[in-house]
Amino acid sequence: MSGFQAWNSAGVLTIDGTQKPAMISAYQGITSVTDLGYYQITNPFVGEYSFGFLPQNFYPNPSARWVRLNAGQACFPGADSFMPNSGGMMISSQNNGVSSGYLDVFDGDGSLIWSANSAASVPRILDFIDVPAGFDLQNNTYSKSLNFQPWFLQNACPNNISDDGEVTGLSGVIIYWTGSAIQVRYISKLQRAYSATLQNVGLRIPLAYFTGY
Amino acid sequence: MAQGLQCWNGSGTLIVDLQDYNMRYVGSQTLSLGGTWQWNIAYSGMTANGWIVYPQVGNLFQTYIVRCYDGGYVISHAPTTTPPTRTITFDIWTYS
Repeated sequence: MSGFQAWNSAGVLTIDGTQKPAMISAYQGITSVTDLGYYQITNPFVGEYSFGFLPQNFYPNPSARWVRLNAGQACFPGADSFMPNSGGMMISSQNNGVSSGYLDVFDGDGSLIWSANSAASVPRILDFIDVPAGFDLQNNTYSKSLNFQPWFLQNACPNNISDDGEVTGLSGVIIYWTGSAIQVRYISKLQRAYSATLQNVGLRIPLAYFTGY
Repeated sequence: MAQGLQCWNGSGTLIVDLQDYNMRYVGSQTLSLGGTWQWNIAYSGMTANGWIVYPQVGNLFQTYIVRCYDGGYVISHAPTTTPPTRTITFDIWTYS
């Protein structure tokens, strides 16, 4: 621990002279997708042939990726499966530079790790999709009403599609934005059910806001 | 009285507010995972509601999912019970 620290209204450390925050570097609109409707993803929100894959190399890896959906749109996010023109993705990383200004925070090595000038580039995590352990997400929809249009952390979303050339399997979360609530359901086909895998630990997915987007 | 930090940009728009959480990079951990589908990794100081851990994969499928708890994290390979042994690097963040 060194230098400057700040805490939020809940008494939680938010700015620290040791650890650098994620900072955004690029916004990408989710417009065209490939192989639209190739995989049938049956879900409670939209048609099962609504999804295609993001274009190749749509995002750098590793990175922390935030997805915002337009109202009425759904995705199978961890498998890069989205509806055409359904929203956008914000790329963030701890490796993006900070611009000095107004209030600068340095770590113990003298590296600039936060500034008021660059603060708008830091994801503001305001809430969480918080599915408690024991909640049966495959037979019940999780819903959280929000007073902002959220960006959720794609990296935190379990999703898989398997294809041996004859049959396909899948499992993971479908995320849907109604326009005022974010909703989540777990689906599986020829892969393991939520009750057998993640239900004993639950899911927690951060929801962020970016100033100016 | 509420505590916290507020910042405004040059246009007077609030860009940091009292209730914000910031995720800060702690480091990465490379693990060889095999033999089962769920692994329990001890990590001193980690908490259930203050940390984020995810694998450095993506492009296309996120099959290893992490849930933090007080003192460590659980990695689950959700699709199947018998994934092949893989070496995976996990990024570790805190927002507490």
